[in-house]
Amino acid sequence: MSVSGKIVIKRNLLSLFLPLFLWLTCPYNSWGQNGLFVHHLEMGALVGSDEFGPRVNFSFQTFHGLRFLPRHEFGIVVGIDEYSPLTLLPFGMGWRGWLFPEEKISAYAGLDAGFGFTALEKKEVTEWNEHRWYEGGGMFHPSLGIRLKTKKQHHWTLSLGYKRQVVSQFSGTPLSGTFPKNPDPRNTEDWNYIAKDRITFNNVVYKIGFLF
Amino acid sequence: MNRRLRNKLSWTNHLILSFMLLLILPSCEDQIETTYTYHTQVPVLLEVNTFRNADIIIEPGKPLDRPGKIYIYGDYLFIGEPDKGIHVLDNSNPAEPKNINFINIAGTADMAINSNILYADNYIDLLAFDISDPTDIQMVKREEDVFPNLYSNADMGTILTFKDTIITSTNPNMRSTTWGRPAFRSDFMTMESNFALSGADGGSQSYGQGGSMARFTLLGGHLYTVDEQDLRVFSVEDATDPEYLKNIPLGWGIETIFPFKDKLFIGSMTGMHIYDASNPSAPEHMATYEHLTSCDPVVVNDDHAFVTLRSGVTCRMGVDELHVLDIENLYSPKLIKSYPMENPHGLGLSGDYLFLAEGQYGLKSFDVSNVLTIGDNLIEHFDDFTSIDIIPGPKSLIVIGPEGVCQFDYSNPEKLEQLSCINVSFR
Repeated sequence: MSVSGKIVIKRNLLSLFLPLFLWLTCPYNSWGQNGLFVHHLEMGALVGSDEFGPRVNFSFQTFHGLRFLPRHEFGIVVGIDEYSPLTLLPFGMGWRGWLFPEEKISAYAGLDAGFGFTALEKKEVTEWNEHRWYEGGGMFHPSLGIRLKTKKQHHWTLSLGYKRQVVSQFSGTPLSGTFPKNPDPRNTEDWNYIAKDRITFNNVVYKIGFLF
Repeated sequence: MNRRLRNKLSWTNHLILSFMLLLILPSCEDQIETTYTYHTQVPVLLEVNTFRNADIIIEPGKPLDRPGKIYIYGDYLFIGEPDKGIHVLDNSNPAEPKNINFINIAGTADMAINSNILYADNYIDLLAFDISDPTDIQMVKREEDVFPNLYSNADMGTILTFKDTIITSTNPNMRSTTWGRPAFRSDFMTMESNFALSGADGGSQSYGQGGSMARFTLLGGHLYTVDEQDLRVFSVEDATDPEYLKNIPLGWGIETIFPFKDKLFIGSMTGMHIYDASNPSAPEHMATYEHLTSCDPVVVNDDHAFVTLRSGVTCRMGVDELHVLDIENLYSPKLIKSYPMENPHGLGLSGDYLFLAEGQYGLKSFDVSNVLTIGDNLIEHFDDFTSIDIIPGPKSLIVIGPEGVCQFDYSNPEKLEQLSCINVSFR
């Protein structure tokens, strides 16, 4: 897989995701400010350490929820986490709980859980016929933060959280001689060798957000 | 109000505590769990007596599992199953081959047929079977200790064999052992096609026809076998009584042998050797054409030799090319032109047409009447059938691959028509 091909695929997927984000997050959208619908945009840094030392990665996520109770909101979470060179697309359910929903300043807690997809990662076959690909895995992200009200009806948030994400990296060569055209990743019979690295990212997440 | 304030403060304390806890978390590293699963061959010591004393059993026909070499003789098709035995099929109607029986030979890799006698290896021995009635095959001779390179201890009578095994490890360091895997002669790479048109016949003897990846071939009343390093010569002038004559060391990585007229063309990982077998019991080296290290079967006509080079893990640092050599002067073969290919394995030549097995990329046919423009003369490409080796037989073009054996009508070489396919049993 050439680099340019990879970029094209990323661009295609982004061109799907971006309008979705924009549409869901547009402040002038008709579902606006009746207090029932909540949108929470967040971006920040994922801080952790891997075998090479400390790492800092970029994260962006949006929460779109409904206020079921005065202090509780439930909804879906969509995002993008850039663990260079790997990009994960988390998708899942989220909860936000507000300590003092009516105050200008309020503490809050959040819990997001779901699955991190690897749709932006293309399967590669090297010149040595080694197949390399990723498979996504679970995502779990509790956080605590504070909300600051702006002059308008919107709020800023600052939060600190923990994010655990699992992804599996596979590499293997199909059994020489059998040439399965589509060797089955689950069937070790099809592979001369197959290695699975199950990577668990443990992150501290520092995020700034916008709530409307 | 007071109470509310206190409440707020205690919450703030809780928050600060929680934040501090979270700050400690970065000490927690990413975790990596590695699972590494690989096929390997575990060495197994086998006593010679155990397989010598066991009867060679002729079983009723059974489905193909891992087809290896192919060989045709008269109306019969012989399909080797590496290490297991040989399937015998009635191919009088190529559109409907019939499975007759299965010769159970442990440790077999190759075969050749001469005047109704089938030769096959059985670890270190060479066996001869009378197949004049393919429904009633009899073993007529066991020539012992002729492939002694498999002996681990000749005095004790033990040979070293390898058993396919799948091992799973969670030790991340296991990966480095991939290259330490022992090479095994029944690896599929050895199954190249030796389309031996058996141009030279052995007087009154009648030879069958193998693929371009064969390691056994017949020429002038003699059976020639190649293994990793050696060319072995057997006299089969009395077909039922093969007699081991001599061994000629060839170097390493010997893969295929192809007879043409009274010459032997031997494909190896480093090049092609030409031997003069006009004195069949003592072939003499004529020339060696050297190329990059890769895997390469050979086919030949009067003027040209066609050599395929392919890459692959077992073929070291190969390239994927078809080389056309001028062999008018057999003492100094010259490269005329090379053409890029995808993953060429065996090949077969029929008049001006070259059929090329491109591994998982299928089967290709070329017009080679002008050897300088082969690249522009691709006629057909069947990409839905993984093909390894080819025999242009008298009735049909036989193509073998891991998925089975297919036959094509090639009376019009410009347009192949599929006659039949025998698929391997579901694994």
